[in-house]
Amino acid sequence: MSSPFSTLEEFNGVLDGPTEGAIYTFADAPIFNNIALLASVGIFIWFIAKTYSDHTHPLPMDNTLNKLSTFIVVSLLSLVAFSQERPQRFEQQGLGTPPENIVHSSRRAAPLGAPLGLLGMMGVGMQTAGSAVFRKSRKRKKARSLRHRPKR
Amino acid sequence: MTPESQEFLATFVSESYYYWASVFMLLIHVGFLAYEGGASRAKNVLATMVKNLLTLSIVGLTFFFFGWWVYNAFPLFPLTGGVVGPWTDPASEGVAGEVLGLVQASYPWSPALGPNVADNLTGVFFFAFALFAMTTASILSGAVIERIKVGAYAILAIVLGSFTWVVAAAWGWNPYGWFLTNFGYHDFGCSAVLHGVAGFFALGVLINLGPRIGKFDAQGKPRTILPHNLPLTMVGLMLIFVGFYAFLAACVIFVPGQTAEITIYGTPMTLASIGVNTTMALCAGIVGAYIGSKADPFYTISGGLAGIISVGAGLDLYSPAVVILIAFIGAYTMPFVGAAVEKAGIDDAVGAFAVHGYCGVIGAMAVGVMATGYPQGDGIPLTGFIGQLVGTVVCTIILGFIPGYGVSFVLKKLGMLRVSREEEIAGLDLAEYGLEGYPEYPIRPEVNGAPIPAATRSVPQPSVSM
Repeated sequence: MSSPFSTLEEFNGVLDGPTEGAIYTFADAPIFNNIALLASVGIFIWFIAKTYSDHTHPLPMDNTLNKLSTFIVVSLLSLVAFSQERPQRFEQQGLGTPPENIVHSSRRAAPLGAPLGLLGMMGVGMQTAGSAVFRKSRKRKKARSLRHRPKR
Repeated sequence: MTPESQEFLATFVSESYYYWASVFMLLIHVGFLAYEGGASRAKNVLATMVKNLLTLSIVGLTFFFFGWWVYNAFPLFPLTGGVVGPWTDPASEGVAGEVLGLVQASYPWSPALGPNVADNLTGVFFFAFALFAMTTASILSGAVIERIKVGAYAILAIVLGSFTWVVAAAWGWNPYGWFLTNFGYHDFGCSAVLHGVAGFFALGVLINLGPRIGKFDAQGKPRTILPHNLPLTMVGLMLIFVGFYAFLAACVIFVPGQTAEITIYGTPMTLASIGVNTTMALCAGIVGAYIGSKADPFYTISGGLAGIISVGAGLDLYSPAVVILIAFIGAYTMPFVGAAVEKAGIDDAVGAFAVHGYCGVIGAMAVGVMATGYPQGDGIPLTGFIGQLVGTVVCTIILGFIPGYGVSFVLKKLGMLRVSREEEIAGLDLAEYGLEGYPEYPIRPEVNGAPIPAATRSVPQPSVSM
């Protein structure tokens, strides 16, 4: 029984009699209300903890941006690789200094590609940039296309 | 100060107390107006708010015509007496005679309701009860937004606000009611008597009304229809909170001659404890709904209401720590109930069933668990689980769900329940009022569920002012 009154007379005494004091349930059994209080504090701590974990899930990544970023990063890497490999190849083949037009094309691409590459690295392109096979094949194709680029 | 002026001062204190409590209760309706208007889509905001406004008139007038009489005439029926009215023997004695005196003061032609220097209190109690009745009907109005006909809503609001909940109050929130006298039912803040009735009534209506176009996909999977103005919805609920403090304060009985504050059942209580417990319930409810809904803003703000309703029945009996626990449990579980209702294919636009129906049951039944064995006076059974269960079932099923389902079923068969598909797609603002709530901005119905059919293109468009 949750009533704090032991008799009906004691209850009636609240309104027109000698009964005084707390009239809430379990007032005569403070242990119950103390347990409820501890549980309330526990709930509050749980709530504070949940405020750090309950967030709306981030929006799914835009696949279009993903592909574009991948393309930009791979393009930049291919340009960097081309600019570094090209002198070695010419030296190995005994051709001396590479033709001016090819060097010129890679020099023009660098200032444009650098900020775009940074943009791609900041984006979600990094997810697919780890694919070595993909990167390798695209790099070869890109280098080949630049080598056969017509003069302007 | 003469004894006469002292006596009148006591009367004036009571009169003023209920008058201002009722005025502040009007904030519940301001809140419902903002809450439901914000929860609707932009194409329905005007119709939603006008419907809410009409609730005041529809229920206010019908409560005056017969609702106030129902409250005073039905407490003995059917277990301890009949319905008391003009046909009752004026020479009746005992309880029937006492009830007859109140009934005679509740007729719409009663001199007690007009300017009458011999009765300052009957009118102010009518005022408070009329606001209770409007609140009950407003709970329904939120659930059915964006597709119900105004006429159908008016009929349902009359049945709910001026009859079924009033019968529940006569039985379960009245010192002569048989819930109390025969079963020891205790429901201080009207958890089941008001919220349970309204929530289950709304559920019955929603089954016949059907979901909004676009709410469920072809596979029956629910889709989210976002509120067009969530900040307005949140402000609305904050106003409802303010009104609820007044509502619960109006549940305190203090009239001249008393030496202590009492509940409607005659049990002792204090207004101060209502302030503490309501505040704790509000806070714990928001926390519970926040966790239960995983920080969903709509459910979180509704959690405050869910918390208060979950402890409403025993708000005068619990210690604050117990209030926190019960309010938390009610509000924590509330979002799961809302999700289950949606999964069942029922489109409850504002979660009225979860917040009011479910939490109303929790509130009433919690008394049977956490306050069982509490005395309520000579000859009155102690509070208990069975007594609470009887009252809760009668309120929610017999006076809530069955009337809601039955009346809406008849309206549906008569083709009087729901607007046409074309009107719903075009938006009720244009269909019913020929106006838009936001004329400066284009409204695109096609993003709200379905493409615009050719039939709706003939709806006159208001001129756009820049």
